Amino acid sequence: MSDKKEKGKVLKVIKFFFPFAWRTSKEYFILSAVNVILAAAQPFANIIFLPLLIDALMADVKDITLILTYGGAMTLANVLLGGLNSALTVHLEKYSDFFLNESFVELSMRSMELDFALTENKEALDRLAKAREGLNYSSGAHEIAKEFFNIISNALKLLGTGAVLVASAPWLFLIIGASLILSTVLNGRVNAAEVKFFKKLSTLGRVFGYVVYEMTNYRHGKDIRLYSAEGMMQEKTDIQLDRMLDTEITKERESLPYRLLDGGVISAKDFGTYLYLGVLAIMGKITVGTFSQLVTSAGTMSGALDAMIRSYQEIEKRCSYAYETVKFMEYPPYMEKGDRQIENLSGGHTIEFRNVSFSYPNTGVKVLDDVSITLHSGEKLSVVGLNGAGKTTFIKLLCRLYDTDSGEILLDGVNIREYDYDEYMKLFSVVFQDFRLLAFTVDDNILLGNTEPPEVVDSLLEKVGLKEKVESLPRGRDTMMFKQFDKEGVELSGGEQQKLAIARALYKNAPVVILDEPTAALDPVAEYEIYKRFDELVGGKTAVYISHRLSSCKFCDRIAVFSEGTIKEYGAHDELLRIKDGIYAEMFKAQAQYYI
Amino acid sequence: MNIFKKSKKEENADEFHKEYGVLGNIVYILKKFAKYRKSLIFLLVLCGAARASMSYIWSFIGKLVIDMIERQAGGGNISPLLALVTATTAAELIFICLDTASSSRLRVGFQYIRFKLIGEKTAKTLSMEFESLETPDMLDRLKKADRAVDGEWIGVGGMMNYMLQISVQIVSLITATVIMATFNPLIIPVIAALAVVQFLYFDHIRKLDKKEMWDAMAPNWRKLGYMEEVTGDFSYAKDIRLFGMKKFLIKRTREVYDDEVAHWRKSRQYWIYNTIFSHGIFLVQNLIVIGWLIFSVVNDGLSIGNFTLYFASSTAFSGAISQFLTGLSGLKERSAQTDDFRSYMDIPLADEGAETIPIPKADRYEFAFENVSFRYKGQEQYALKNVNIKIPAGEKLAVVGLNGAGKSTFIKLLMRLYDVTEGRILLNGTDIRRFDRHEYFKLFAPAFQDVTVFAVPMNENVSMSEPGTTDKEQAEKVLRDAGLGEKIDSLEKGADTELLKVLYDDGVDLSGGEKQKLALARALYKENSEIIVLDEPTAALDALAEYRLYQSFNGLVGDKTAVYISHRLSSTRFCDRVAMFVGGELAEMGTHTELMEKNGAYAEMFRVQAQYYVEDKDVITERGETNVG
Repeated sequence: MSDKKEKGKVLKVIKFFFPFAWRTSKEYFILSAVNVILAAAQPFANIIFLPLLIDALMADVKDITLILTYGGAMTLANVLLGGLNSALTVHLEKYSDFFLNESFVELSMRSMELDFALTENKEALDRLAKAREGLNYSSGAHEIAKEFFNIISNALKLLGTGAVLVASAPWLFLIIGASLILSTVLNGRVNAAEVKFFKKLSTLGRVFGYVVYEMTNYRHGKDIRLYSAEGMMQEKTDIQLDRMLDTEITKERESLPYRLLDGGVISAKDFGTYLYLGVLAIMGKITVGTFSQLVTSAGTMSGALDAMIRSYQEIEKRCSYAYETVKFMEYPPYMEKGDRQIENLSGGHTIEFRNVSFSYPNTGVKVLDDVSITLHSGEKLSVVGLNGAGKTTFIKLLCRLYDTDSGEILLDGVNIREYDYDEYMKLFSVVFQDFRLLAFTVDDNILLGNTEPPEVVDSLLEKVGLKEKVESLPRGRDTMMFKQFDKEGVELSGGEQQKLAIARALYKNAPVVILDEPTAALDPVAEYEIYKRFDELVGGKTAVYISHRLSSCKFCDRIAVFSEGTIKEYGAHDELLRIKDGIYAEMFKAQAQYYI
Repeated sequence: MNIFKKSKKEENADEFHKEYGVLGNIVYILKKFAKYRKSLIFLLVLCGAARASMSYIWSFIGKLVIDMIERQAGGGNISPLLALVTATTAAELIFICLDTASSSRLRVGFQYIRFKLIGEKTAKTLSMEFESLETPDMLDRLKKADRAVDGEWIGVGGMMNYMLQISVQIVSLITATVIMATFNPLIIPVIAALAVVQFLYFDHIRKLDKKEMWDAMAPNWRKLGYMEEVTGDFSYAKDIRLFGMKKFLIKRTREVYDDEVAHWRKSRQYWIYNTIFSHGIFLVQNLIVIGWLIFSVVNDGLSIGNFTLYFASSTAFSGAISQFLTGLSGLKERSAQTDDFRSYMDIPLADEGAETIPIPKADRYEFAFENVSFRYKGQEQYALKNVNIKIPAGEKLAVVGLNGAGKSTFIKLLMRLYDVTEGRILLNGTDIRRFDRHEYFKLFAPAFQDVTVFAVPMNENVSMSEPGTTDKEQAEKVLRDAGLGEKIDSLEKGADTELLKVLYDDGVDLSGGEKQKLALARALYKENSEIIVLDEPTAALDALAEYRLYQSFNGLVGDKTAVYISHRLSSTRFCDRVAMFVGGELAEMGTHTELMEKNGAYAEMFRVQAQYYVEDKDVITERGETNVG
């Protein structure tokens, strides 16, 4: 268990967990130190006073005052030390959530800072899942610190009982020491089986979660019922449950012999201890009082040793869970990030793709192949193409969610990699096809934490055609969306959500507006409204508009037709429509012929 | 002990939530043991007894050794001692082995029972009618039921483990009480009274804690879960980065956390009070017991061996009481979660016990809506009002309308995912509610807008049947018909390729357009169906794929009846009739040409969409027909 790798993990985890705890709360550490002493002292109430009491009771002439003093002192010391120790332990638990939450905040922060490319990378996703799970399993800094302090207080108990035993029964060390070594080995085996099982379980758990919860999710309910797929679902569930059970059985089978052997070691130790001490007493070497003192001390000592081993193993176990978190925090960045500031951020900018090629990591398939295009300030560009032609990838590169493999993207003549990343993000107002709103208020969704007078939001809502709807909501602009945060929250329809996402993009008021299929969920009339207001919405800004509905191309200056990763046609609607055998003309006609 | 009684019905709006009480739930679990694995009941008792005996054996032996020493102080005969210690060790070894082996069995057994219950719950969910399953209340109940069987230490799993723990404490308490009674029976009422006082205060604190911490925190768990989802589920990643939401979200997260920590601290404070109180009780108890013992030694000649035995028993009693109380509170909490599970399992199914008639075999199936109105549960507004429509066999019907006009509700009623609020739907003249729901489902082959893809091979995604019963050839054929031929050819394992990456690292994720094609293939595979229902099947398709679908639509559907919902009005051109919904009512009905001539809502909507194309009419027509497709 305790090889170098494990120790390295422990150190790294401590470095991640404790600086924060130390900075925020010295009290925690001071009280913990006090608690260590209380915990260590408690067993000595009996160890010290019980033999005195017994010997006094056995004396031929019984000194009642003395007897009562010993009895009283023992009881008081016991309850006081025990009570304070318990109360302080509960008090220290107050910090546990606080420490754990701080680590979660750091984890959340890190996952939001992660380079976007990694968020679409399965390995990074798994790492994050493990980091969260690991943090949860580790229970955070308090649980680990608690075990450290446990080790110290048990070490103190060990010293104290050692001092008692060394004088009267030195051979006990041998008995307890031997049993300790055997127990450590055996417990190590049991632990190893558990850790192995944990690793296997986290894979199985993922599958289990999917099969048991996701497959029978109500969203799939329609299909399951109408296609009579209940049998398929039930069978998949049963198979998965059997697999989990098999793993459990194997784990128990693997560790049971070691647990039984450990039981044997305990019995042997008890046998040795009682026999040895009993012989000493029968031979008259020790008094009955001392006999009971030594029995108690021996019990305390092996308890302390046992606790130390367990605490140490617990630390290793918790740290190896938490190490997943640390590993995630240290996940190497994917992109280089410049520090150049953008001049006149809100002004007009020219963006140029120069021979850009790109494949998604580990796929080897070129999604964009030698794309060159210039987007002038104030220009409206429509991007069209068949499914899989590279339209969305083009947008992702433009927003620097990914970096190009070859070629470069220039902003006002400078490679975008040279700019400060956060600064560059400020250039774009985007409504993605799969945009996500937050389960907060309408205001929050648009302002994202900024404060503005109500007119600002109202006029945005008006612009996207959502004002009436929002006013009809129970708490107007303060109504919560969805149900996660507020049970009374409202569910907007797909079209309304899309409008709200557009309002959010408008509020950002960035110089480049990007709309990716913004009307897919809208009915013809709502779509028409958006088209009609497009100029008003976008104003003099640069705009990129992706749509399968080619009607949208008509209000754009330029159309770029993507096919097989390159721009095959480029020009205004009228020009493209006249290209003989052109892709655009073909697509437009396919869509148009039903309308004319 | 009121902890075992069913607590008074709290203000609970949920009609289906029941409280079964701790004892009721223990019986429920024991019945499950009896049903699935009888040996668990025996193991539970065995393990409890063995574990409790282990903790007592040496304090009893300590007394015997001391007696022996007293009798022959300085005598030096160690053989009785050897015999005694050997016998005790042997007994201890037996107890340890029994405990270890039985707890190992119990751990696996508890998991087994939990898995069986998960299986029961899945079966329940699958058999529940969709109409109820979809409501937020039911989803909440399901989520709670899920949670109640989600782990070893929560809900039913937790109850089983606490039942074991408590059975150990009960044996310990009884043993300690019996030993103390041999000293002096009068001491029993004294320590019992102290234990009751301790329990009462404990229960008071537990209630305070539950009310002000756990109940008050319930919405917070949901919020925390949500914040974790937003920051960790990368579907938000693009928006977070481009809108610079990080600081805002962290601030929100902290607010939720801070609230949680404040509650948590308050909760710990309650338990500090309990710790102080219980130690006060220990003090009183110890003073009484030790004083009494000392008195007996001094005045009544109680032996020192017995003195140590009674002293140890008294300490053990205190320990057992406090563990018993912790166990009880744990048990109570898990029992409340178990209530969630049982309540869900006991929700009556709408179709249960209903008498049904078989669907009469016919060559042609005709559907008719008669004055159908529908309202979603808990809503005042009608989603559909007084709809009358006949769908003759073989008809291709286009259903159009604005968002929220009632199109989706219309097809949900048709397929009986929901039952009508007023009026009736007839199949060949018989009310569809008279048929068995599952038989009725077999008539339909739907492709929904929100396509569901499962982590199984592509062809099983099409057949939706148990592994091994899929007609692979047919599945591949319909996949190709639906336009996924190229995709299949590009995959190494073809139509056997696993979808999604959840279960298989080399699973394939489909694009939005591909998913829609998959859904279409699923509908086509269901050969015995009579009616195909397509809900926005081209929303994610590009212009050419859409065109190809339109072109091949009639060929694919054949003689079957088809209902086609779309925002793209071009789709109405290959349908026989168009049903235009406005505000929940069937506003217009007829062929495309008829409705255009009528110049009503449909014509207006069509023109709005067509205008962009009409302008280029000349350019398109001059290019001729041949290049398309």
